[in-house]
Amino acid sequence: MAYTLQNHSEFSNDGVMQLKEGISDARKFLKPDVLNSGRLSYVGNINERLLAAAAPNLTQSQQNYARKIADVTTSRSNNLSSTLRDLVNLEAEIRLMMPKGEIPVLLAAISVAKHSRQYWNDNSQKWENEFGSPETGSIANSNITWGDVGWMDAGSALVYGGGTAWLGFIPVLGWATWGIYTVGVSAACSGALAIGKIISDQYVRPSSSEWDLGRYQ
Amino acid sequence: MPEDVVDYDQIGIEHNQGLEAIFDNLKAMKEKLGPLNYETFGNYLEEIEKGAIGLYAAKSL
Repeated sequence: MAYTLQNHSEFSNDGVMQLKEGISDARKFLKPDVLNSGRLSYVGNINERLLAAAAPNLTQSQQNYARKIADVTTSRSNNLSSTLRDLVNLEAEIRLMMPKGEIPVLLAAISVAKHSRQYWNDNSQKWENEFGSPETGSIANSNITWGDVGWMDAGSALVYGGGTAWLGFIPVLGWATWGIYTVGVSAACSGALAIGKIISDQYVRPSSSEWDLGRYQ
Repeated sequence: MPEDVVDYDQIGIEHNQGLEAIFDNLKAMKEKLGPLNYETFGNYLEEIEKGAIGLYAAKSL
């Protein structure tokens, strides 16, 4: 019987600590792009850094597929249905071509990519309506698509899911904890990039000295 | 074997549930946080992190 993440009995205090550390690491990763300089329009830079960050924990074949996932998810010419179709095809190819031990982190990332792409297709307007500013409107346009946000979700699943998958995390804490950890970090990254996109779409970016990160340092 | 014990689709489903929970939390906190802009961005990010950790920590207890 498949173990689903709905059963969280294995998610111990150690798992919570790991999740906190993962999110803290993700914050450090996001900081140069999202926090310090606000270079959200340079999404290509984020993509490359995500792939580079994931690389040490992935085999060359996994890295090749990671790049394919990034290309499919961020493609400007893909609409929702073609993105989902391409991801399903990629998933089938991975199941067929990759050794079993190298599959989990890739399929987790594809699952996040598929669901995230669908989520932002259905809900981006809701986020913009809730947190956007009707007074300013879209005057800056960050040039980031919601597909890019979806790649941040999938990419962070690759970086942090991949890292933990090879470092004794799973044997000690279990697959359910790995899944929750992967999901928790990717959801946090996704939310952070989403509000960053909303801000960047609506405001002209101030110089870095005008950023006020409050306690978020 | 991993493929037999992990429901990959559930990972994406829970990811979206996490996003929705983060949205609901931010919406509830918006009055306290103030309008989203560069000045309040850090506080929003902090709330997102707390929400993501709290969501899964709560489920495990």
